[in-house]
Formats: sequence, C-alpha cells, structure tokens
Amino acid sequence: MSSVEVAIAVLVMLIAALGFGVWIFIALLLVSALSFVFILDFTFLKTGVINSTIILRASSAWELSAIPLFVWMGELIFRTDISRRLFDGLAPIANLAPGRMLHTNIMGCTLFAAVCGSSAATTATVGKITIKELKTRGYDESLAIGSLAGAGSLGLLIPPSIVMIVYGVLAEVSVAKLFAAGILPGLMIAGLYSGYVMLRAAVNPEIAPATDIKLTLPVLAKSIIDLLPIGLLVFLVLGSIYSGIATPTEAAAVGVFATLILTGAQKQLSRSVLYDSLYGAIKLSAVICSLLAAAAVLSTTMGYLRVPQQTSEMISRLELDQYQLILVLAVFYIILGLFLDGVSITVMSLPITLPLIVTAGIDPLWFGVFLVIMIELGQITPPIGFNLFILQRLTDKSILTVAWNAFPFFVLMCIGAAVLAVFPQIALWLPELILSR
Amino acid sequence: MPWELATGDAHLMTQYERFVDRVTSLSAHAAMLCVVLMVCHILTEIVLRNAFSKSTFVLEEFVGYATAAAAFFGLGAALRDGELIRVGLILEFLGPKMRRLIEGTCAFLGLSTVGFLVWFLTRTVLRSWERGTTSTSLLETPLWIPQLLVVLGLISFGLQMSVHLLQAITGRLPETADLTAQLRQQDT
Repeated sequence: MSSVEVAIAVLVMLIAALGFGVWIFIALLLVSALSFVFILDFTFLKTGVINSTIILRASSAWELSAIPLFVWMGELIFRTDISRRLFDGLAPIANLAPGRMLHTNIMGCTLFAAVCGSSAATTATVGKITIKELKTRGYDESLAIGSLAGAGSLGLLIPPSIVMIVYGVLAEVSVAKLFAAGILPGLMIAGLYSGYVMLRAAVNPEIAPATDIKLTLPVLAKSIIDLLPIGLLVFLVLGSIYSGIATPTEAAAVGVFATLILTGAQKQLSRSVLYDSLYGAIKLSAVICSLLAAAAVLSTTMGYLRVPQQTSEMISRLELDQYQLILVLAVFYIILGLFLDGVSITVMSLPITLPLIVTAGIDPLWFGVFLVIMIELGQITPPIGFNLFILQRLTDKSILTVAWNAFPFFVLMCIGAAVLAVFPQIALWLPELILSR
Repeated sequence: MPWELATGDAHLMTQYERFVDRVTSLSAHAAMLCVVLMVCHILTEIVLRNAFSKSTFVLEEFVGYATAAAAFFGLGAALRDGELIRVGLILEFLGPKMRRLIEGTCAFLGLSTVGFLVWFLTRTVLRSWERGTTSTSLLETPLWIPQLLVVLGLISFGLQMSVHLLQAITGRLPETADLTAQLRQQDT
C-alpha cells in the first residue's frame, strides 16, 4: 500500500470506530492494534509488547499528576458558594460600564478561569448564578447567554489549563511558559467581548436596565471581601509557579491544599463535599489520562506507518506560506471541534500537525496558544459543543438558540485568533519576560 | 422448565453485577487514595525543598506511579457513570433495538481491547517479577508493583465493561447519561 492509502485506511478506521460510538480511548487502541497487525504485519506478540510498554510509560509521566489535582480543585470550588460571592463582588463594579452586569459574566469567567483548569466547569460555576440574576433584572437574554458561552470557553486560555498541560506534555513545551503565554491573549479576547457588550449597550441601553446599586465605599469594601478568596487562590497558584517555589505540576497540589483550607475556614468543607469532589475528580482524570496513554500508542503506530512524515512532505509540497498553513490548520481544527472535545482533538491531531508547524518555522509555544483558541471555538459550535450543553441545561433553551446567541462571540474569538496570528508577540512576550532567566 | 432457568440466570446475573459494582467502587477508592497520597507527597516535597533544602528524591517516580494507578483505577467508575467520552451522535438517533446492538458491539470491542492489554501487561508484570527488574532511582522500586496496579485497574475496568455487554444483550442498559454526567465528562 502506498503511504497515502495507509493514511486514508487508518483515518477511515478511526472515523468508523468513533462514529459508531466506541469510547474514544478504546477506539484509539483498537485502531493502532489493527494497523500493527494488518498493515504492518507485526505479530500479535510484538504488537502487544509494544502497546503495553507505551501505555505503562505514557501513563506514568509525572507531569500528568497536575490533571487529577487541578480537576479536584475545580470540583471542590464548584461545590462551594464561590460563584455567588463572585457575582456579588463583581456586580457593583461591572455596573459602572455600559452593559452593566453583563460584564459579570466576562469578568467572572476570566477570574474563575484563573483557578480552574477547565472551561466547562467555569461556564457551569459562573452561569449557575449569573443566568438567573440577569434574567430577573430584565437583561437581554441572548446577550447574557452569548457572553457566558464566549467567556466561559476562555477558561482554557487562562492558566491553569488542562488542555495546555496535555499540549505541553505531548509537544515537549514548558507548561510554565505555556501558562504565561495564554494570559495576554486571554485578556485580549475578554477585552473584545467587553467591548462588544459595551457597543451593543451604547446602541440600545434597554438591553442592560439600570439598577440602584451605587459603588460607595462600603459597597466596594464588601466587593473586595467577596472577591478575596478567589483572589487568594489565583495568587497562590500562579504565585507559586512564577516565584519558583513550585513547578506547574506541584502548584496543582498547592492549589488543592489552599482550596481545602479556604473552604474549611468558611465551614463549607463537609465530608460529602470532600468525597464527591474527589470521586468526580478521579473519574474525569481517568478519562483524560487514559486518553493520553492511548494517544501515545496511536502516535507510535502512525510513526511506524510514516504517516506524519508523509503528510508533512505532502503539505510542504503545496508550498503554503505561514499564514496559509495557519489558515488551513484553523479550518481543520474548527471542523474537528464540531464533533470532538479539546483533549481528544489535541492528542489525535498533534502527531501530524506538530511536525508540520515545526517544519514551517512556527514556534510550538505560540502554536499551543493558537490551538487552545481553536479548541475554545469548538466548545461553542454545534452539534457537539460542551459549553453549549451546559448552557442548554442552565437555560432550558434549544441547543440551536444557545449556539446562535454564542455566534457573535464565536466571531470575536476568530478575530482574536487572527490578531494573534499577525502579532505572535501577544503570546510570546510575557513568557520571555517572566521566564527568560 | 425454561422460565425457571431464565429467572435463575437473571438472579446469577444480578449477583454478578452487584459483585462488579463493588469491585468498581473499591477500585475508585484506590484511585482516590492515590490522588490523596500524591497531594501529600508533593506538599512534603515543596516544604522540604524550600524550608530545609532537602528532597525526598523520589517525587517524580512515586507521583508518576500514582498517576498511572489512579488513571486506570478510576476508569471503571467513569464507565459505570456514563462519563467515559465517546461520540454519541449516532446512538441518539437510533431506535432501542439498534442501540442495543451497537452498544453491545462497542462493549465487545472494548472488552477485547482490554483483554488484549491485560494479557500482555500481565506478561510484563510476570517478567519484572521473575527478573527482579527495579527502577533506576535511589529507591530501586521493584517494577512489578506499579505495573501490577495498572493491571488491576484495567481488570476492574474490563469487569465493568463485561457488565455493560451483559446489559446490552439483555436490554437493561441504563438510559443515556444525562447532562450532569456530560458536564463532567467533557470538563476539559
């Protein structure tokens, strides 16, 4: 078989298995085993030995420990009253700008993302308060839903971020640098969202009715107290990384510890909160880590099949310049994002796309940030967009309505990605500044 | 009489399911223990390093083993609660009969894959045991110990998968996981 035929055969097997509903982690292992035996003519024994060796090695990479720990931290926070405090604290401040409390969605998600590794958890935690509050105050519903969808998916860009850890491990890019690289693009896109909301409110003030909250000194003081716990967590997690006390992996343990102390001090740490959060965390991290191990197997298989080299050679024959390549990859990732979740996209595509971008002379650090934005776009596109599912549950609207409300923010995020492609320094400047030593 | 046999079978089957359910919970608890130990070890290391300029020297090794063990010990519970990710698009549009057929096929493929892995991983464990292979660190951990944890996790996952297969065959699959489950499963 020619290499193109091989690549197509593998792809067809993979799509068939995934479309059929086989669990993704099983599908990856199955397709690699079948490729070893039927395409490469390896014996069963050799296939089994290779597979089991890779699985053992890939699953015991110690950087992965950040995944269960950050997930646990998010699960703990989700079960406390932190989202209520976030809204109460932000509302009087947000009230000053045109668009008023609609900004609680954007500011709340951005802040919460800085203690939480996942965008779905961010959307759910912030949305469970803001959606109700904004509705009773007569705010424009489509904008309330849209801004939450957009800002919620920003969670991946702002450290800590599970997808970034996954990318860092697979692409051998420093996770601390990736975290730093995500901050400015994240804030930039949050700024675009806020700007859009202000613009809409300036054109039509009805979408954000006035309230009688005034930002007096006592109100501000109460705001600060409400925001203190989350501020403290952000400071501890990011501070421990960038002061050099802990590696990003270890910072996850610091975060868990701080969250436990904080929730304990607020008397919200019951035995059931502790147990449920830990149980939820091990399930989710099992899903992610097993997927990573399976992806390592698949990526080795593709290496044996020479798929990455052949694809890179094929694409390089097209003689695309960097922008064209980025555009092609963007379209590719948006299509994948219609059907798959972020970690699955990352682990399945990187064996092919990483050699491509390295050959094209694109910085893998920059590409990590770009990839995360592409994944975020996938979170708010139907038919499978996980933030849409969460919003659907929070609002009782159809998935298409929710997706339509999120659409302006989808466009804004595309603009953000384009700006990032033209000015890569937005991502690369901060890591150089902090970690140039 | 045939119906007597059937009820006997059903009884045996629920007993088996209850047994697997217990194994899955036990295995989930093992995963939780791994995560807690991980946190404790990392915190100890941070304190030792920053306050006393010392180290346990085995942090990366131990946390690595715990991560692997936790990942596989937790899989069964993720499958049981419908949180193991898959593309469920087609399944949702099918009638109950077709769904059963496809769910059954998926579970069969899953069971075969897990069986294949368990077979070869067990072989690896036995070899490590016979040859006394150890890690290259200071501690010289016998490698069969962390490897065995992964195998045990996979076996418990396989058992849960067999229950899924049984339930698909007998048409007693739980309804598709609701959105609460989905909320967690794609929590990336």
